[in-house]
Amino acid sequence: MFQVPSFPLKARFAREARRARLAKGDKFQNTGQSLMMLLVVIVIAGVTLGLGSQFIALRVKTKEAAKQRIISSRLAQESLEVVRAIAQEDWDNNIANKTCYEDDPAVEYYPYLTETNIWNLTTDPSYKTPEGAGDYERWIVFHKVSRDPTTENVEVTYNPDNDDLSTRKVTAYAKNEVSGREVSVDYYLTNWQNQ
Amino acid sequence: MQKKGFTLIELLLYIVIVALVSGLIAQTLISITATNQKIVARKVVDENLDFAFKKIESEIKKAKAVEVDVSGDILTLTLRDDSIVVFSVDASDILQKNVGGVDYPITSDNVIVTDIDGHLFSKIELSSTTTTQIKMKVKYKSDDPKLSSIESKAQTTVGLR
Repeated sequence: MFQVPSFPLKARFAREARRARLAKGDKFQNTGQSLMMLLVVIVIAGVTLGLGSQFIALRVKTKEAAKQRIISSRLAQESLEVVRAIAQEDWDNNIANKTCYEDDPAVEYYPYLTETNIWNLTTDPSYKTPEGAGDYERWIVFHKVSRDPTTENVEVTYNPDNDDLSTRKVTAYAKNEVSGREVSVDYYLTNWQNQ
Repeated sequence: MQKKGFTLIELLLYIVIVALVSGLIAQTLISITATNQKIVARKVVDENLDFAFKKIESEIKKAKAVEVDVSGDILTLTLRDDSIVVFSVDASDILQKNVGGVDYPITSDNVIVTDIDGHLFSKIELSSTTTTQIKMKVKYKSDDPKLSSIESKAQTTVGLR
């Protein structure tokens, strides 16, 4: 019949069991686990913080790009308004006499305010950066326009045989000099008085 | 005895590593939080600037006459339906649109609206056309100098249609 061991015997069994566990390497296993856990925590924390930092850096870049786009598009829009205004004033002397991209791709025009506070265009590169605009520059390029003789629609590719002297395509560019980000806006100008 | 000594070295190593990692994590979190605050401030500034320009541009396009006061801070538009719209910056540096004597804030109280070179609005008249130039700077309102230095300035011109 099974008998419950007496107290000294029970204590002896417990001691033996602990020795057996230590001999099997239980203690080694415990310390190893804590080091491993620490390494895992370091790796997870590192990866998480790395990703977080990358995300923040991306947001900074996106916000900066958005800011530059707002400023550049306003400058380009101003260029188009200037061209619209001076075209209304005098098409022949303000628009028709301007060198187009098809004649010389290197010619750029820069809007500026004269001393008498009126808008004008110049090829002087010192006006490329508008006053007070800091790191931004802007310029305008004129393009010739041709129209289909039957439909009178603007042709996608310029055809010198169908040149429309009363229409010009204006492309206004604005660029942040530091980042190189550029915005361009197209606008078709027509000499209504000539129609 | 050997096993106990080994545990103490492990403990010291553990403490050193945990201290280093915690310091690094704390530093990175502080940096991320500060950058995030700047991003939010930048967003507020740019949204206010963009919205202010859009509002003024759309009203000028609806106008038949434009007047700018001598200081260049008040823009008065007479719309095609003869109603009067006035844009100005109030004492709290908020851009206001006044219609029929009622002020409508265009920018939030988180930003300061100022001019760039002495005047916010300029009327540029040619013989047959009138254009209005807007030059505006929007700055973040904060006691923290790192945040209050966040600003955007832009200029544009709108002609009467």
